[in-house]
Amino acid sequence: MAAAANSGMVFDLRTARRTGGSASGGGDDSARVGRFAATGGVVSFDTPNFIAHASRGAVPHLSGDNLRDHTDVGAVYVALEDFVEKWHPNVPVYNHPSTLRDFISHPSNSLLILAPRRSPPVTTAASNTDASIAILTSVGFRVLKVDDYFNAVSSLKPDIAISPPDLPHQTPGKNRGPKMVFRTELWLGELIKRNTSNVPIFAPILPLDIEQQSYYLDHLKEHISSLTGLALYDARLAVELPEELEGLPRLSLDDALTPLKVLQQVSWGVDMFNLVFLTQMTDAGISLEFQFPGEATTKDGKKKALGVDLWNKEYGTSLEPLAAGCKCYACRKHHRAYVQHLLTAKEMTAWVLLQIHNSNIVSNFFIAIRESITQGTFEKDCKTFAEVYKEEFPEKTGHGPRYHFPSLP
Amino acid sequence: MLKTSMATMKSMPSALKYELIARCSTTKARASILRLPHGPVETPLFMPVATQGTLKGLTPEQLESVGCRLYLNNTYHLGLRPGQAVLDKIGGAHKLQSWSHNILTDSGGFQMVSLLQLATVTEKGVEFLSPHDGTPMLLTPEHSISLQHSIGSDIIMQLDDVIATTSPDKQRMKEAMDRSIRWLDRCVEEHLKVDPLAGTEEFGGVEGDSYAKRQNLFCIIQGGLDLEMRKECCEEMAKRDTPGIAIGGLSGGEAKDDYCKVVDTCTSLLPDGKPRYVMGVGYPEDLVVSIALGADMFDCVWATRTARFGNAVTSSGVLNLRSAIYAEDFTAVDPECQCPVCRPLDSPAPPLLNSTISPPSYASAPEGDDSYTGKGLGITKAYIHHLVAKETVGAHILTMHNVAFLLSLMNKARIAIVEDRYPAFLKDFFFKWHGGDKGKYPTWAVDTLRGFGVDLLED
Ligand SMILES: [Zn+2]
Ligand SMILES: [Zn+2]
Repeated sequence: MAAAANSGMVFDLRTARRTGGSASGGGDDSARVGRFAATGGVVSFDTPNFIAHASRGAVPHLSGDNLRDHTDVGAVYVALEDFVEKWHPNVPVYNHPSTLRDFISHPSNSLLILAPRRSPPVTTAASNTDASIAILTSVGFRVLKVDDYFNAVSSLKPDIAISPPDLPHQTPGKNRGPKMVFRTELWLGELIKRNTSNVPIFAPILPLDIEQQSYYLDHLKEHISSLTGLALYDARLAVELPEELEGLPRLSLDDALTPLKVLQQVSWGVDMFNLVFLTQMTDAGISLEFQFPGEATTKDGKKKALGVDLWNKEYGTSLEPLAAGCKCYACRKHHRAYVQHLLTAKEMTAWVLLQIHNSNIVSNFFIAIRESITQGTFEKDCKTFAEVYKEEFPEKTGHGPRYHFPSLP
Repeated sequence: MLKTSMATMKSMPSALKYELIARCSTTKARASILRLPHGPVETPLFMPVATQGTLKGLTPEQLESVGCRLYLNNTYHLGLRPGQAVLDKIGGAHKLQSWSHNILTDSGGFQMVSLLQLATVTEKGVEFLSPHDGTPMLLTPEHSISLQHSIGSDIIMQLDDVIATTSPDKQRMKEAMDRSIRWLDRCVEEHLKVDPLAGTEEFGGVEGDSYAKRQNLFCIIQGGLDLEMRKECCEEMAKRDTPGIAIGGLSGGEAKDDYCKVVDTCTSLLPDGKPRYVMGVGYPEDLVVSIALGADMFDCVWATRTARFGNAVTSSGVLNLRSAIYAEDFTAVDPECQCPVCRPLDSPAPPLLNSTISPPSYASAPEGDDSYTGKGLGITKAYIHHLVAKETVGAHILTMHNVAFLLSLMNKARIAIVEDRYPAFLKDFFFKWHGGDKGKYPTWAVDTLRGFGVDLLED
């Protein structure tokens, strides 16, 4: 079953085991495996999988060479709000002769997903209007005209563009909900109409009850040929989506903050994850250690930690890799003692090595999830994982990196 | 006079080989291969400073990819963190940072005097208050060398008594020079002790060997701007026969022509067959002139420190990429540069200009490994403008370029010396660096090079 949009990306759903009958009857068996590929066949992306969140076009701590050569990050999420400090037309990225990919020198082996805002977005002072989205740039709060976003999609030509959702700061009241749906549908229609570069489009699914957006979902069914995927702001809705939309890959922007929550969303049928905890753990100095489904080694009933805090003094002379058995560059070449030394010295290389390692652990986690689904053991493996590992990451103890350098003296 | 008599001096083994390859027929510039315990390097040589065992977010392989095979660590910093006990347990600084090439360490003395206001120098050593808990501590020549033994650096520096060259106190200057000679003798004594790791599989050699068999102690010529004092120091220190010689106490606030006179005086007196290292120098104009004065090795934090403020060192001078004029400049940082940052995206790494150095560690990685490729990144000035001071990645890539620029400048100087066209290289360098405006050439450089018959201003 392949859903081909009139654009350059094809999603090929390899397994769909939706045997549970009624959609709302629990989605534990909705996990699915797929492949998302450019029609040219250059870049492909197996799902379930994660995407890395970029800041100003760069995956935090990873220069393009390290991202390209030392990770399997297959897709990167970039927010337009990271690029529009100045007023149009004085926005460098708009004036660049080529694409966003060229502007940020993005490695050719990874997909680029463009959205108006970061995920999760920082709450803004102002609200959205029918024609604009409130955003936060590095120089403060601004307004992004949806028109400018539509133009940016056509000129910047990302591999995927997420159509703007209208998301209020608080839980929407009686009147706000319908307005969200109205604007989101309006903006999607406009983006489809003005998509002169045929950029693959992901339609947002709002964090509202499915009934509240049923007309909008009908609209999506009608325009399915113009859509490449769905961006879910509430992952639970994956199990309630109409059958007609099943062939579209689902990107969750509903932050799965732990591996267990990732597994839960996978079981609901989510295909792609914006994995916020990756950079969070790296910044905390925590080296991830979990595998899927994991093996219980101790019979004492103690659960394994999801990662180790490399600030912990006991690793000060440890020549062990960041995680036993890991084959990433950081683990092949370096050891825990060095990372601890770098962390305590506040040297940037600490977070470079951690980010390389952590993204490798996460890549392997998703490879194992795909295998498990393919072999039909996913439900059982999730139970094993929950028995072997603790639910939460270790507490953060050390200081994070300094993102902002002091200004010129 | 407290100098050690020659009779008590022990002979010093050398763990390096200095091979002179070529000499400029006009200036005193020389090109060599310096064979060190962790592989050969080529001079003239710039050594970046990886203070705490790392350089501004760069991995060892990123440094390898731009041709770096020798960098500095600071003894003062590594002595504090991770500390001597941890270094001993881990097996030295190479192992700590997984750097398979060479390391040079300073003595730690200069860092103390410059970083700690309360440091005082006595005959015993440098007294200071611990930055951890304020307790009084003492760095002696013996302790400095012992720390550098634990670090395991390929080139180690003597503890010296450094005072600003601009100090008007001639008597204090003389005292510092004499003391530096006496401390050199104490350093030598410590360095000739038996190395407990000698004869082990990892460190090689024969049981009973001294540290001098695997680490090279360099003396440091002092004497401020007083050429007579510098001469005396050169003579005395040359007698100690260390494997290499540093010219210290410069890089301060002295006038550039005074600096040139000191380097010129020292290189004329120093033995021909040993590397000469001018400490703390790394500004491109200073480098190319110092090479003409017969210096071989240099280190400086300037190029890497300035990257953090968005300054790119290029063949056409220093560009501050934070400036709005680069916001929409979609060209490479330096179109002439061959570093991964400046080369087009995914373009393969060209062969390194310095052909005799060891291959990068990632070159021997097994097939299918996710090893470093050194391929181009196609970064533009506009993208660095977008990142700089906001994302650490901006600092990583600009640092990488700046290091690459200085290493490549040294390689180009070396090739010019070998082909005996160093004067033409100098003219070309200054012309590009100042955008063709000869009115901007610094007088000290013009005058110094004129002394060799090289006229930068002639066409
Ligand atoms: Zn690893
Ligand atoms: Zn470059």
